[in-house]
Amino acid sequence: MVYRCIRIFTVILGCFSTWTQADEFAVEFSGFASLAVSYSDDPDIDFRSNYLNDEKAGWSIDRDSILGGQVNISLAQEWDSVVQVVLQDREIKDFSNYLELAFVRYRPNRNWSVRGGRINSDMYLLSEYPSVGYAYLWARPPHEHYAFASTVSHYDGFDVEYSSDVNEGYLRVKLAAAQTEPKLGALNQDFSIKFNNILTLSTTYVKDAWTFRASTSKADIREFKSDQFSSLINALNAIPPSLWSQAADYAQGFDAKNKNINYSALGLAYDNFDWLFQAEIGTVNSDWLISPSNYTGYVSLGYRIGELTYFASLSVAKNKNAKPQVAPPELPSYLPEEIRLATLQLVEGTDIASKRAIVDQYSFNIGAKWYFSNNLVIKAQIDHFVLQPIGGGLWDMAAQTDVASKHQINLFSLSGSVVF
Amino acid sequence: MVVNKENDIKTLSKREVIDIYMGRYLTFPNGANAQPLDLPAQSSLKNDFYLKLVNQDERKINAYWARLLFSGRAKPPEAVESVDDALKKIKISEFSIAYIPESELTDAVKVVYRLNEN
Repeated sequence: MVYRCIRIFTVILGCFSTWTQADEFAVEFSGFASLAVSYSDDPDIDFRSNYLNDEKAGWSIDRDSILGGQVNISLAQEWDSVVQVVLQDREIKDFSNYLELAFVRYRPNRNWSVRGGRINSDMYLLSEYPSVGYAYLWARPPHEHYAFASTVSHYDGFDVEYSSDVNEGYLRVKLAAAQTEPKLGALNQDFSIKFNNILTLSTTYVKDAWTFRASTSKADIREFKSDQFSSLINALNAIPPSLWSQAADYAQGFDAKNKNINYSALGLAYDNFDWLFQAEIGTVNSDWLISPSNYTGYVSLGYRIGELTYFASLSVAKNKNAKPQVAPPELPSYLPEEIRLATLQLVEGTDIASKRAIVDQYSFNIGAKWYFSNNLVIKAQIDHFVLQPIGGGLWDMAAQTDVASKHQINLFSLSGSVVF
Repeated sequence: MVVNKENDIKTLSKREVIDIYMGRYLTFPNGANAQPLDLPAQSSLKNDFYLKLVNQDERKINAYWARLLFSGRAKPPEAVESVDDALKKIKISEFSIAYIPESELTDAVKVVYRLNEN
């Protein structure tokens, strides 16, 4: 899909370069970067800043380091285009995972705009610019809330936006229709998920120092390409119900067919001269075992003294449904030993797979952002994560790690972020 | 706030100046293109302008524009080298708008808003 969009985009650009007058056509380059060194203190549990990035324990210089380039192209008075590529530590090194924006926009008048191509989502307060460390307070967007958002932070389609002054404030309403196929990796396996028929409705209202956002989104899960899960589903479907009656239910639960996912979120930010307050809550509803339903949210407070802004945050992600417990079936005594063992292995594999996606964690962080110069900010941050038993779905755990136990992890980060 | 004398706009409210300088709209209220100009970075004129307009200093404005630029929403105002440079651009461009100190006001441009107004 993305390549088809790029081809269409290139053709449109080519047409405009001949249609438009020379003084209307302009190309401008800009960029942003973060160089970040961080240390995660549990060697058996790897941290990743979002679902698309590689997971690591211990010291890392590429966990949160990012280099982004953007070109803004003015095509005509009402037409423009933006292309943005962001290099970061993606688990799967596919070009589509690095292309953030590639859209053409038409603004027929002051209040309306329409974009087509690869567009970004504005579901959450930071979801339009999660990679631009210079633009926000923390070393990275709050993990519990934004790790989920990465898979649908951009998609291929179109959106229509209306903006207007309302009651001394500024109101923006946007409707997007799109699809996306993020390429992910976990447990040394590559997989991709195709989200079809994504519909996102968001509204943002800005008045004085306050920003309020509400959004909702739905998507159909169409294709889930994973050798590991395909094998598991096939094995579960091959088990006779007389041996394990729940096997077919688990196969259906893991299968992406006819599954859908819904996101909704509320965000509030207050940013006056010295005080910064930001909070978001979100809910994910899904009947797919690989992406179970969750509540997420965070609260953050910052206070500026001179060139330094000190901050503290609390973030939470909590599973909505009861944590699964796959009960081993009572196998008949006449069963041959190898079939009995294979069945019990499958039960164990099903138990692990159904538990590994569950997210139940919270974290505290404190830190400071130092406005070093006009283009450079330096940040230091300490996060303390608490992973509840069977709640480490955002992390990659070594095989010997007991997922049924509580884990506590500290993450230290020091970064410099620039814009150019 | 000054514009070209040929610009149809006669006056702007503070809210309309905020709309243009904070990238909410790319046009004047009448729909004509608006090209806001910014005085040099780290100048007291620029800092004072944003403090009076939106109670934000240059640091916060820079972060704000990083958000708008890299979310693909809008481009920041065009930076000029001096008040003289701003006045020259206003004289030749019907679309430009700039903030200048009252002491440097000339008859060659039209005043559409004064920052000490409400």
